[in-house]
Amino acid sequence: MAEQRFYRLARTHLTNRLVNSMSKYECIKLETRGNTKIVKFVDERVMDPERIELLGKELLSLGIEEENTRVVLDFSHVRFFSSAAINKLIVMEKRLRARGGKVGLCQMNNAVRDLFGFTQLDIIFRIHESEQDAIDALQE
Amino acid sequence: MNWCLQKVIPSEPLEACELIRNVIERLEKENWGDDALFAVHMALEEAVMNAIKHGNRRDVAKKVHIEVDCNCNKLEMTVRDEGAGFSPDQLPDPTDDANVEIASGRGVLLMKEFMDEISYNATGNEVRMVKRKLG
Repeated sequence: MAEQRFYRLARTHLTNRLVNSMSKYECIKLETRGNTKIVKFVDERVMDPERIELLGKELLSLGIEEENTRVVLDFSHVRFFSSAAINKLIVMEKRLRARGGKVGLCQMNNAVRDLFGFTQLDIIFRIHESEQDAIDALQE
Repeated sequence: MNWCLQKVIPSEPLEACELIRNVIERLEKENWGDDALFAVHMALEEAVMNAIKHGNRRDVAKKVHIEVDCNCNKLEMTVRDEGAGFSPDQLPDPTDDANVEIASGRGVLLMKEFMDEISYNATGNEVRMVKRKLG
C-alpha cells in the first residue's frame, strides 16, 4: 500500500513537473490578464499536507512584495478543498490586502461553495460565477 | 453493498490521507455523488486530523482508531483518539466577526455542517458521524 502511494505521488509530481516545466510553480498554473493574475489549482483534490504547504508558499509568492496585486483564484478544476488549504488562502488574502491587493474566487462547484458559506468566509472572499466576472469585480 | 473498515493508525497525517483516499475511492465506485463525496471527505479528514493534532498532540506513540461502516445508503464513521477529550460546545465560534479571519478552528463546524448526524462520547475523544446517500 505504501509502495502504491509512493508511485502514485511520484507519478503525480512528475506529471505536474512536466506540465509546469516552464514555470516555477507545481501546485498552481499562473496566467496574467491585464493587471490581474489568474491562478488555477493543479490538484483536483487539494488534501495532501505536503502539497498544501507547497501551495501556501506558491500563493504567497504571487506579488506579495508588490502593491495593489489583483488575484483571481479559479476553482474550476477542484473537486475537494481541505480546510488546511483554506487557511493558506486566508493568509494570502491578508498579506495581499495589507498592500492594497484584492482576491476574487470563481467557478466553484456546489460543495466548495458550501464550504465558504458554512464558514462565512464568503464575507472575506468575494465569489463569482465566471473568471471574467471575477476580473471585472477586482477592477472596482 | 455493505462493508466495514476498521483501522488503527499512528498520529501521522500521511497515513490519514491514504485511509481517506481509500474510503473516497470506494464510495466513488458506489456512485455516492460529488456532493456526498466532498462531505464525507471533509468530515473524515477533519475528524482524523483533529484526533492527530489536538487529541493525540502529534504524539506518534498514540493511535487514532477509525471505523467506517457502510450499510446500504448509510455511512457511519467513528474516530477516536487517545487524548483527554474536549467539549465541542466550548469552542469559539469560527463565524464570529472576531474569529472569521483566523486561519484555523473550523474543523468541528465543518463536520457538523457536512454530516447528517454528529455526536461525541462523554469524554470528548470520540466522534460519531453519519451521512446518508441521496436518491
